Amino acid sequence: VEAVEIDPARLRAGGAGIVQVEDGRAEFGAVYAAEYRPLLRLAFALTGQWSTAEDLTQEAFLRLHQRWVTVAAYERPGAWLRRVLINLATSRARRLAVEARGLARLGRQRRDEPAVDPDHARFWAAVRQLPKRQAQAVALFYLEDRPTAEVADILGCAEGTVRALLHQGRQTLRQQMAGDDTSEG
Amino acid sequence: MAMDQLDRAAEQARQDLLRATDTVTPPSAETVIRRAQRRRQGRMAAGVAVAALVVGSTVVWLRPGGDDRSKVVAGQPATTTTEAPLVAAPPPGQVVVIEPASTGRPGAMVVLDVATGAVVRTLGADYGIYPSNGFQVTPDGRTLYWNRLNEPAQKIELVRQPIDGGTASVAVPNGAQPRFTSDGALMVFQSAGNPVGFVRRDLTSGADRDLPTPGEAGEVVVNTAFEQGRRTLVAITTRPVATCSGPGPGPNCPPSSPSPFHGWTIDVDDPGATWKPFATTATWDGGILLGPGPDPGSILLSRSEQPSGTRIAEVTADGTVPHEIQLPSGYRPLNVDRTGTNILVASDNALARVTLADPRPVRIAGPARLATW
Repeated sequence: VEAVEIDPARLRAGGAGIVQVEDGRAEFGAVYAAEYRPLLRLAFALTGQWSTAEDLTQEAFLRLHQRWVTVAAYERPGAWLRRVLINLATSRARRLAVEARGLARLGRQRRDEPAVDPDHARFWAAVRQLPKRQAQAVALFYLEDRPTAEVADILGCAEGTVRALLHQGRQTLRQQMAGDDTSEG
Repeated sequence: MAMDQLDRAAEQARQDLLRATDTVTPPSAETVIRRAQRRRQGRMAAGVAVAALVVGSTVVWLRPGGDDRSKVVAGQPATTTTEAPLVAAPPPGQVVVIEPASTGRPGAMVVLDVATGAVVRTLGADYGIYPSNGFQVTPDGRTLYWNRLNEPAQKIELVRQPIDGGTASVAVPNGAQPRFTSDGALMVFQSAGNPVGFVRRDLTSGADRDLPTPGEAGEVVVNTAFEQGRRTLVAITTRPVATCSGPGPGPNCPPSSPSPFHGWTIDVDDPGATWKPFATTATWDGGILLGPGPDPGSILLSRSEQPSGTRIAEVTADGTVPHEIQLPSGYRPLNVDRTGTNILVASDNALARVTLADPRPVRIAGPARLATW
């Protein structure tokens, strides 16, 4: 599998930013260029750490490359990427303490990381406090602005399940926001 | 739908994240491709090495190793990810297996050589039922304990079987779920009754002492494990999915909603000890205990989730989860060795082993109904 430079004119959106080429097969370099930042953002929303988000994003693309022959023919390779990333993030969530200890051991200054407004960071932190599936659905819905059918496709569940997850997640977030307002007032 | 306060906050947070990552320069695609190729080459090389070691045998390296754990950081040379070190212990040399019907010898209990998958010894056949919780080898690797149904007496016997092929004998006439301390000096098992009781047996003197039953009223014990290197037993309890007096399911036996699982712990050396909640960040719901973990005081917890599959987590006594792996699709965990590092897993067509450091299954033999180190 080779990454090749392709003419952007040959690309077309395959729905919600998913890139495909004219013959229906995506090209790795194009998918990588189009999807790296969105995946990084999703990983950050789910983990809250840039180093972890980078690691997860790169691991997702490594796995994409390893299965490129198959996934390139998918209608939505980006959906496959997001499912892999979410699965990786789920596993990694339990290992955050390990990573934190490891980073402390390294004791070196990390390079400049994207700066997120602390007020807005609190929103993603609240999302991460939700049960895993609710957090994943909410992140895909709000961050990626995806309709519930696409969220369901990525999470591998029914659309009705996604609607229920979103309802529960949004309800919890609203209660939390109301609580924050009360405590700040 | 009108945008409410939550939607506005979400949109602002989204815009902020878009802005923050606008200037991020991804590592080049070529760098990722080179890493993927190195990983693939590493696996192929490892596969060749293993194939050379086992040529002529039935052992196959399902997904050869050679993992490239380096991480590409944008604008910087590759560095190594940091993970807590894991104790590496070689797998035991033998594994005891109950063969499934697909082998043509359903219920046959055999000892296999782990390196070759060859049958070393047949211990017996057609023992009837084998509750997975009752299939355990003592830490010295010399004695197998398993459960069998004594039909006339309607009791579950806990049977002791020397692995070198000696004669089997009944260790407990009505007991199940044997668990051993890592030094092999103590065994704890469940005794029959309602609720079931727990008994601590000193394997040197043979002296028994009753232990309290864990869990809240109406809960059942899922299974138990000793913490690594300690005489602290951990138990998982939950409420039964359905409780009914007649044959179910049916109108008189409605399934109840799933109830949460709880973790408990007790010092079996303290005669006055009671079960205490096991404080941890890990979720116990739907989990089972596999056995001791690799670090002192830790246990291994296994959970199956859809669609992500089965995960195995090391949970320490202080509540942290230092290591966690996800098994490949189609694999289920069976058992872990006394070091807490080598985990037996099975799929529909293979018995294999994995470790917390490398969750890729290494095939040992064909399919197995149950297996234990």
